[in-house]
Amino acid sequence: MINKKSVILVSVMITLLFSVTGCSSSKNTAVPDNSGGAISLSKTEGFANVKELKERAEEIVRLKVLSTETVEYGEKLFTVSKAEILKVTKGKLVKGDVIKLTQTGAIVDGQDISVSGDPIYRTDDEMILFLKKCEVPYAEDTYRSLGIDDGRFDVKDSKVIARGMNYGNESKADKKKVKKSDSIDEMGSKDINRLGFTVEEFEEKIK
Amino acid sequence: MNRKKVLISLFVCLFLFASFTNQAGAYQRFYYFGKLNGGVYARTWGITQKTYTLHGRTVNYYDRVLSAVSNWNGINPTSNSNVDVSLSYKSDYTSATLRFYVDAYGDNGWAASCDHYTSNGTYINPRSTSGNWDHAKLFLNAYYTNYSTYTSSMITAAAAHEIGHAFGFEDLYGSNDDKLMWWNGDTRTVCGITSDEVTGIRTIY
Repeated sequence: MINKKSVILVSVMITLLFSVTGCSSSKNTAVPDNSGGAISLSKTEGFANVKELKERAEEIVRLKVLSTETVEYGEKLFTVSKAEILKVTKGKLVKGDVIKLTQTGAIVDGQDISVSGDPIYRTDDEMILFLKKCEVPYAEDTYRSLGIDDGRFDVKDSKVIARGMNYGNESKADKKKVKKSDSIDEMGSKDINRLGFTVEEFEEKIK
Repeated sequence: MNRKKVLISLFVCLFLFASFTNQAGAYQRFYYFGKLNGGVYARTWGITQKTYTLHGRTVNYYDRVLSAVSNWNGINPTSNSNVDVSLSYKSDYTSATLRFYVDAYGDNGWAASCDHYTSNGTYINPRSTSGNWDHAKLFLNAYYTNYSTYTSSMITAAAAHEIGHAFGFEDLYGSNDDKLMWWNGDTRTVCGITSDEVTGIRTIY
């Protein structure tokens, strides 16, 4: 005979089991935020921590976006922005230089059509970018951030927000639960956003 | 051992098994569960140009995409599923369901890309907008894919991966480099659909 307790126990177990099997196989659990994402793509490079970015960056700068322009090439939209350098941490650029940045995607009828994690820059946006010079057919002398969103750190209310470096693997720093005083080299986006670096703290750390 | 202990033991085993299998291989859909209006049967694909020459190499992209399409077309009805993927070539790419564009888009950090559109030509953002799409534009960036290091198999995989996006699959991260929807074409270890995508397509459609 199955008693009342057994029935309740089995019901609870089945509910818990379905909560595991039913959700994770078909639904992306990450709640979308205002971070672009209309464009799906196969990246050619990815950076899991700050050390990798520092090693590969030709320029590490803080800048402010002055203007943006939508360009169409081969039926695909791109945005070329002009930005003024505010501070240089690494590279040959100097404060006051104006450079061109390229992104895949554009603002179309007010809608952000961009790569996930790399929403289209807007005038007056301030960011710290790990840059490389890139060759594109629709503009000359342009730069882009490494790993598209990996090398992008937005500045909001004097705080730094990492956009990329989300590849589903815990960084070494994640596992150790790093503190703000630790080296930033092994940190990924989770660490940086959790610790809440100010612009000055972040720029000092990435030197 | 009483009945209660047996039930608990059984549950723990099932729970651990379910957790493990989900981590090992789990296709992902876009957040709002969007998919291709009209399904995956009797649909068409087209391409802007069949070959492209760059970096001293001529790549036959028609053949690469055809190989990717044939791979997806291998999903047929079974006793448990009626889903039949069937894509046929259409010379007028501008009216095909899947429209492949081949060009040297430059050093933008991506080898292939997919945009989703409604029938009136407006973009759908499958990650922030609910709703399905009617066709997709799939871009192959010859700036990267024409390098000799980007093998024919990798180009086929890139095309097949983007078809996956057009059908409603999200990128995979973590330890899923043995799945077609792995995010990085350079480190993906498969060049065609796996049981994961087959399960996914039969669930979505």
